[in-house]
Amino acid sequence: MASEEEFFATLLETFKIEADEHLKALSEGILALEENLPEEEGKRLVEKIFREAHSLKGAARSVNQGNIQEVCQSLESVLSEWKQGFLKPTKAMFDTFYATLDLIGQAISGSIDQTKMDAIILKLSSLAKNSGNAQIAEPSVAKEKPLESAHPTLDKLMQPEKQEPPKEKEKTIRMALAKIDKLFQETEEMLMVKLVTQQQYQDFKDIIIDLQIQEKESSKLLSEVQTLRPSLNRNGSDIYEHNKYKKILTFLDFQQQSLVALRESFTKLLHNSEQNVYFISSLVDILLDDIKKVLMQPISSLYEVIPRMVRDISHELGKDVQMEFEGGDIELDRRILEEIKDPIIHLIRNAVDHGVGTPEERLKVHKSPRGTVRIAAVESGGSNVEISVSDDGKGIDIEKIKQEALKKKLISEKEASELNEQAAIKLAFHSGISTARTLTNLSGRGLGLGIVSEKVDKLGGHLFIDTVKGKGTTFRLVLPLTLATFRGIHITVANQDFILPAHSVIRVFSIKKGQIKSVENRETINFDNQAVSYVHLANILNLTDTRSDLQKEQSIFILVIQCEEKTIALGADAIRCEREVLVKSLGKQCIRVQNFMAATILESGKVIPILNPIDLVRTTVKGGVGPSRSTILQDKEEPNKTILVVEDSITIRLLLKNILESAGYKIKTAVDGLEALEILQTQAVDLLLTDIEMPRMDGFVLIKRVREMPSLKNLPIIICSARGSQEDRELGVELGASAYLDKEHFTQQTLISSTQRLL
Amino acid sequence: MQEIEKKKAILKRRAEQLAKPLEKTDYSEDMVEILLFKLANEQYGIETIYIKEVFPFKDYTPLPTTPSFLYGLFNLRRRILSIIDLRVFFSLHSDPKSDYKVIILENAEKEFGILCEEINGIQNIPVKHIQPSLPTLTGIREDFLRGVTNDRAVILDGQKLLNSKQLIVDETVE
Repeated sequence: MASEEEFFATLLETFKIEADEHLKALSEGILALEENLPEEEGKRLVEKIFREAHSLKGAARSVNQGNIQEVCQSLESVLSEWKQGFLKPTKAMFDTFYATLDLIGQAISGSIDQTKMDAIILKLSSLAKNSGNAQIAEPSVAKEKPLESAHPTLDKLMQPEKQEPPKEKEKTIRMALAKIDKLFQETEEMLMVKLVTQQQYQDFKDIIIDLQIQEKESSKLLSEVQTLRPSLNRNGSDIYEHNKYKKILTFLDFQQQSLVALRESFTKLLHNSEQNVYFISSLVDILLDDIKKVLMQPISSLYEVIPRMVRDISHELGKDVQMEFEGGDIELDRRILEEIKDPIIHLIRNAVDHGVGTPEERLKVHKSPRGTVRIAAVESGGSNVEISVSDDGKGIDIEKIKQEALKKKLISEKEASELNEQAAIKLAFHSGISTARTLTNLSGRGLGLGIVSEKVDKLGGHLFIDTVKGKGTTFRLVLPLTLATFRGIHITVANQDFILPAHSVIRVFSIKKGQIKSVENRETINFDNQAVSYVHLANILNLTDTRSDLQKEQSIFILVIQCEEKTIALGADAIRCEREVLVKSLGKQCIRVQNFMAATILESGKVIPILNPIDLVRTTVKGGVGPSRSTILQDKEEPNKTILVVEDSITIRLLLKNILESAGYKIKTAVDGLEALEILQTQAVDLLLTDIEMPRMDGFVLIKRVREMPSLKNLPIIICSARGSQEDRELGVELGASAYLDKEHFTQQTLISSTQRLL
Repeated sequence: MQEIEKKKAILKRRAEQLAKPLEKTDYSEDMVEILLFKLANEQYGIETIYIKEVFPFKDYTPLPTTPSFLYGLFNLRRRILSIIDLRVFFSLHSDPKSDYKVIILENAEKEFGILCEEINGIQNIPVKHIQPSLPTLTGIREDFLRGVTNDRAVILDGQKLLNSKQLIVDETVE
């Protein structure tokens, strides 16, 4: 049998949940009543909150919460007076109500301050007495609802329902959050199953390509050996040699056939695997989507705390502010809601504190003395929500921000004069800048906006500010509705694997070391005709490259990332792929780690750290990075790039040579794959342009060989062929070609633009 | 034949040994169960109540730009845990080895692995045999010491290690 204590403990938990609901209703009701409602509506509301107080009292009694019961009793008496019209509401009365609710709230969560309790009971009863109708100060049982049930739900049932026909409602259950969270985590792990099957599919594909190449080689060999036969006969060789030859031929033939058979069985496996990928992917995606929906909550849950907070702040500052809400029914992932709760509260405080002026100030500029702060949520673009917090106050003083930034030496005099409006507003996101003249305990420390921006960035959202001087300011947060499956770019730096969040990466490309230029001791690269700060990740992460010089490629991979309104270029040694990753926390031992936000576990079980773009940008902008490991570069003219053209037809070879030379490239030529390979091994080439069908060694084999050489792993390769079939195209790309040009359709323009793109 | 006799003798000796009642185990005393392990060639121990499991150290991922006592991260049944190198933390001399073992420490709030060079078994030790520290054991180690056994194994305080703020990485880039 469950012990009585245990039972009581469960009961108490239930009471807490119920009591919170009553308290919330009371709080909402009192807030609304303070707004001078029309008489009829006001009366109804007083009646409603009277009932709430009464139910709370009943519930408290059932779990022996004498204190709460007592306070509720006193509150009920005052409300009863009010209900009967014996009380004129005053500001002092509302203050007492709020204090009462706070105290009950504390008592519910377990901390009871007896002296405060007594004080509030006294205050409440004096309110009731002041009404001059002392005899009702003692609550009369007769007036209360017929049953003083200890059973809260019964109480509710006894109350007259407003909506007459009981609507067919969706059935709901209450469930512990921990259970759902656990379920969600387990479901998220299913992502791994999907990734594993995808990897398997890819592995099969690679094997088949390998087999295809072997097949081609072997069939070529077979035909070559077959051509040997006549020469053998001519030389009048003996029967013994002839038999040997026949044996070889039989063996080659057999091998050729088994290769074909092997490829066919793998192709079958590939098809099965492909089906699995589709099947599992769709199952897992649907499951994840559905479980994400379980985690959705309406935004209104965020709105709950706001009215009370706004009231308190505005009273404290002598301001008159009304709140407006919109779009509270839009549902959002609970984890996002939790993350943005503080930023939203901060923005609202900010709006009341700095946005809206005092009634006198407002009257001076011919505005109504009462300010409005509005929070609105709108769905935008299907998978996003835009939450805006706006005020009708004085707007952000851009000049003042500039002055402040100048004083703090964040920008130079020259920069200040050149700053446009948006850029200047963004300065407010810097630590240490605030336009508030005096520091209040609400805002004005200049830290808040930075945190807002960081949180929004972290969630993969965007923050916009619109401000009109004298008219007001609007902060717009565009956020995803659900936490999308995280996509990351898998990169290698100094032989270590890392993941960079894809949402912060705006462009990926490779450059030659020579394209890094030093400007005022900072390395920069040219990106969209702008100089962007460049830093190799190995420098930020203090990694030493242990690879041999041969392995260090001449080209560097650049990832341009953007966050907190800054753009920087990061260098990496290799880019492996873009992949879906399951974000895992770094564990409790690592609360916050410089440059890393989390980690993920690969299909192989390997842990890979996920880089934190915000930290990377901050470190880079601060310039706290040591000298680059790439050699210091001079600002000299780039030498002409060399292109190797491999083509067996002399006409086409000359044509290609002409076009490319006229575009300023140096051209080398080869008539087939074998010759090309020789040139590549001995001379420096920046790009390879190759035909497919060629004698001795065809283009596919050439590309495969080239990709096998470590020094040429990243050499750009363009296939220029008349074999425009889809399979050939795919095979070429699989093997590592960078582009494919169709011989029959290509123009001078497409040829030059593809080479320019790759060089 | 001789071989068989020899083997028989060995078996007999073993049987006799096993048949003896456990030596000197006085259950009236307060005992603690200690897992003994080697760090920087010295004998250490931690009470087994703080130990979740022990296994040979395999793959790990180092985290650049973190304090050097954080050896890296590893994957324990699809959860990511930190491995801490106490030799670095205690500033002990250490030669790199290829076959470390990992001891997973755990309490209600925390869980992490510590690297060790060798596992030397589990022992029941009477509490009174654990004497307070030796004067030579100074430095940061002192703060995490439970005492020293008769066999001069250094017993670390598992609870203190688990709750240590010094072993937590919490850094910000401003």
